[in-house]
Amino acid sequence: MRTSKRMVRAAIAGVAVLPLVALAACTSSGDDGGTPEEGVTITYAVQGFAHEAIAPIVQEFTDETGITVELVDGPASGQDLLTQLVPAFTSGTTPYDVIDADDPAVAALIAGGWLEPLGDEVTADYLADLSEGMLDSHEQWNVVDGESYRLYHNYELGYYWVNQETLDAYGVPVPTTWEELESAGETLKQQGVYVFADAAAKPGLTFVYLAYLAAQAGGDIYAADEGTRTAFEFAKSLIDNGYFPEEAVTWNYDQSNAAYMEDTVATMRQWTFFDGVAQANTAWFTPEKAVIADPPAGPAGSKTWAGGWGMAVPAAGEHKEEAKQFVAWMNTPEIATRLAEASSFFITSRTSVLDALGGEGIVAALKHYSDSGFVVPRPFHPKAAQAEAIVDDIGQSYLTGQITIDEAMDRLKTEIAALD
Amino acid sequence: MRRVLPRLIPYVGLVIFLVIFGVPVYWILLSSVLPPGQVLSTPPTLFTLSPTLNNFERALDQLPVAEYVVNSLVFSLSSAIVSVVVSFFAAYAFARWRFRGSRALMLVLLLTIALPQIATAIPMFQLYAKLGLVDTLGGLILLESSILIPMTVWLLISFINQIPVDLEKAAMIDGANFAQTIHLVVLPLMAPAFVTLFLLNFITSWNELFFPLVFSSTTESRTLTVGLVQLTQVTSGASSRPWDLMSALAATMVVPILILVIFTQKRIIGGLTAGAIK
Amino acid sequence: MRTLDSRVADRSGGAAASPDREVPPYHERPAPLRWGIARLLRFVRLPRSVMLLALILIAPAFILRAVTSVYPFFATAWTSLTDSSAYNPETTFIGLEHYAAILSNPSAVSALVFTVVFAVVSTLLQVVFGFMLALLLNTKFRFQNAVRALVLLPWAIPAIVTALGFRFMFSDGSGIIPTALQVFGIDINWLADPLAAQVAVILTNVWRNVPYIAFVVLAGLQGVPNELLEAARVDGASRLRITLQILVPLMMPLLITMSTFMVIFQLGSFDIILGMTGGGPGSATQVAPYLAYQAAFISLDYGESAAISMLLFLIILAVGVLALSRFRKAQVDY
Repeated sequence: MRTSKRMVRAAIAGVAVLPLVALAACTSSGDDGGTPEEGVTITYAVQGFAHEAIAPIVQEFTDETGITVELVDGPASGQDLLTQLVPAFTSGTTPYDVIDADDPAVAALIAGGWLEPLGDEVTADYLADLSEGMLDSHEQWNVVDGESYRLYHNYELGYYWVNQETLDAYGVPVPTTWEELESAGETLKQQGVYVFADAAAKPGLTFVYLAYLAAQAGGDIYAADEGTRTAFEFAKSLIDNGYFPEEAVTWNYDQSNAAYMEDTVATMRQWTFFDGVAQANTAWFTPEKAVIADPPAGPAGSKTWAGGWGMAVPAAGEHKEEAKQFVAWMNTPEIATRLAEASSFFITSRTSVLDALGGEGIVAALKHYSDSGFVVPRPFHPKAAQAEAIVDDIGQSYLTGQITIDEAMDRLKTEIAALD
Repeated sequence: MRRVLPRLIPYVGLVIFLVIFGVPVYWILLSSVLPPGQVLSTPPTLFTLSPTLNNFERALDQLPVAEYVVNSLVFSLSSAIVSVVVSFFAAYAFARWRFRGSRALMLVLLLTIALPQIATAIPMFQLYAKLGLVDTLGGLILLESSILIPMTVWLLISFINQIPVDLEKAAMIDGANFAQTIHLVVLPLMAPAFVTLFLLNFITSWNELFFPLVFSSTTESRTLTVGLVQLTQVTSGASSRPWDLMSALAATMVVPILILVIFTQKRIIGGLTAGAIK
Repeated sequence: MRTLDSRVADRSGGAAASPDREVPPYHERPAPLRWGIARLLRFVRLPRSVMLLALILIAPAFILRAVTSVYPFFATAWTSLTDSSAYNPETTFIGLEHYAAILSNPSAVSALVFTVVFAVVSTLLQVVFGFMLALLLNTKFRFQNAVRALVLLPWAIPAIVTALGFRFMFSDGSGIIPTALQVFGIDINWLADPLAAQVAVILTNVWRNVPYIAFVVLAGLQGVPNELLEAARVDGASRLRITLQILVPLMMPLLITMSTFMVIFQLGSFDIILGMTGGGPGSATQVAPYLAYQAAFISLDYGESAAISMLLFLIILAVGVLALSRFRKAQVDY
């Protein structure tokens, strides 16, 4: 019995020590690259649907430089991206050599110090090629302390899609201002149709919608100023008057697109990809049903904000020089134009792309919006991911009647201020 | 009539349950064979005379399905087996012998799952990075088996308690040693419990998303479930979840489970102890 | 030194110690493979001390748990007392500041409250319906196997798919649930109304987990000795009485175990809520584990996330201790 008691104690001690040993073994490590090598393989994580289209073009990079690029399915959303990358980055490793990140994710990644500055060699041609609105966005989102960390390869606007057939059928002109939107709403309401809808679910979509209205009202959404207040109140009045479905507060894009294509919604704000969605719905589609019109003008005019996905290089990578070379190559004007032709996910408002493709289709609309000065950058905050989540919460609470406008503005102001 | 009515009640009950469980499952599976335009129609589409396999094609095309399936199988089978085996040993000790501190140890075991999974992600990743276990199936199996152990232990304790001790005593009197007793007496009687827990743990591992998402970086160890969040589609926007593709992949993922359940049915219905109410 | 034998004889508590259980004695069962292995096992030498044997048996489980959860526990506990975050190169000790901030934040507190409500209500409903379903599945009928396989499906579908599916199924207009309810004249805007959304996520969560509980209880019911039920039936007891007075007490330890673990798991899970409402509308369906996730992965504030996790842990600790005492009580009772 005495022997076993001692052994018991030893066993317990051993089990307790194990985790402490593991804890003690933790130090951080880093790595650095050298000059670009041949015969290296790098991984680029990008949305699955784009792979087929860009693979042949990417192959040319391999042929030119001998660096193999493996296209990997990136996570579908910014949140999934952060879930995958944050643990890896905090341990000094990275699963990919080149990543695709959206605006809020890249703000977080830059702040964490996890991205590699791209340097002038990579960015010079790119910067020269950007149209004005896009340059503003780039400076706000991709540049910190003078260093560029990401290059947009996808620059999307929230377009104002209009079902011309429905409007014509009820004798309603295309709304060009907020007031016209409301009067059109009144007419269409009698016919059981909503004049306007936008997907506004959490996470993220509520912010997209409210920021859209805030841009038209000239408000700085993170300052909770007068313009923001106007925008919020307008959104609420649209719902209260029955011009905008209250249910849309729970919709994702599949649902808002479905509603639009069921002709229960006459106009909506939606990204570029709806072009493909509408045309794929051959049973429903005619060109008049999916027309891009100018955004309705609020107090500050017709505005819409733009943002997008871009390529970045994690600092923990082992082949950073090769990765940067790849990023540079993919973003030269010539290759960027070819990529834009191949996949809508690579359309931006770079002057080269606009010049080459701006004659028709969705890129013509992009050119028109850019040239008309409708485009403003996505509202910026260094802790964008968190800030947008705050707007989501408060926006939804207000739109579903859980809090008043005053409470909403107060909370927005305090909670955003608390981020600093 | 009065005699028939009570006998009908179980059947009525079953039908109600089948409807409540079956209809949503049916809708989810239906979504996988409907063309994208019809899934979210108003009013909802309940039936289709022309199902399409296009969703399956696109979903399985987008992902390295073969690797994912192999990884998922290895991961789930191993996690289920390891968790049940390791848990059985511990459960037997706790169930049969009340030694000093056994209560405390059982409580500790319970408490170790009290910390939410997300809290363990970053520290464990750092540990795994040190040990070189990132992106390995072995590392994932260790994590998953570990999570499954506390509940498996507690449940096995309940099941072991159902077996009369006298059987084991009889065997020992006959000269069987400890290992033989377990093998001849306990294991056969535990068969339904083992099979049930193996099945449940297999399904839990098969559907596990968080750990493979965080700890796998390549197709070396990535599982089918991670494929669900990698599915993207131009027509759902870059950040939206494409429901048609996801339901197709989910329908595919359910098939092996159905096969496994049907296979193991016999063992679940009581090995040597027929306890069914007739 | 006490032998294995007498130690085993000391065993107290436990179910169904009735000697008249209908099991053929082990030496009368034909099974050549089993006997072959048994002959080999003759050579296995195990320590005579029960304590040591017990420790050897529980060691693998505990070692696994120690490495994968004890270590993160201490790491999390420490981090919750610091201002560790991605924005902070130098981590400093700040004591209970995070805890104070969380507990004085009304939306964080209401998230904690809803977490408990969500987990407890879900578990109660799951156990009740799971037990009922297990009883139903335990009766013999045609297509028994097919039905059992079908009934497991809700639990076999990956959680995000279920969550997304129900989000669509609850949606006004294109969802099958509101459409079906309209037949009865019920019109609820499920996911846009704060209270209805809370109900919807709980219902989905219950729907998902009932099969799991049913299967475990079913396995438990298999172990109920036939004689017990025969004797009761011979005595003239109705099915209902048999169920309530025999089966429920027998299954109690199992039910309590299941309830405990289900509550613990659900206090820490947010996959259904994330897929269905993202915590909305507003913050109506926000739960603490999702807050912790957002704090770590979106806000990159590891200290705050760790503090939320620790608060959750304390809640779960209370639940666990409560459950363990009831478990012991139920065991001794018979």
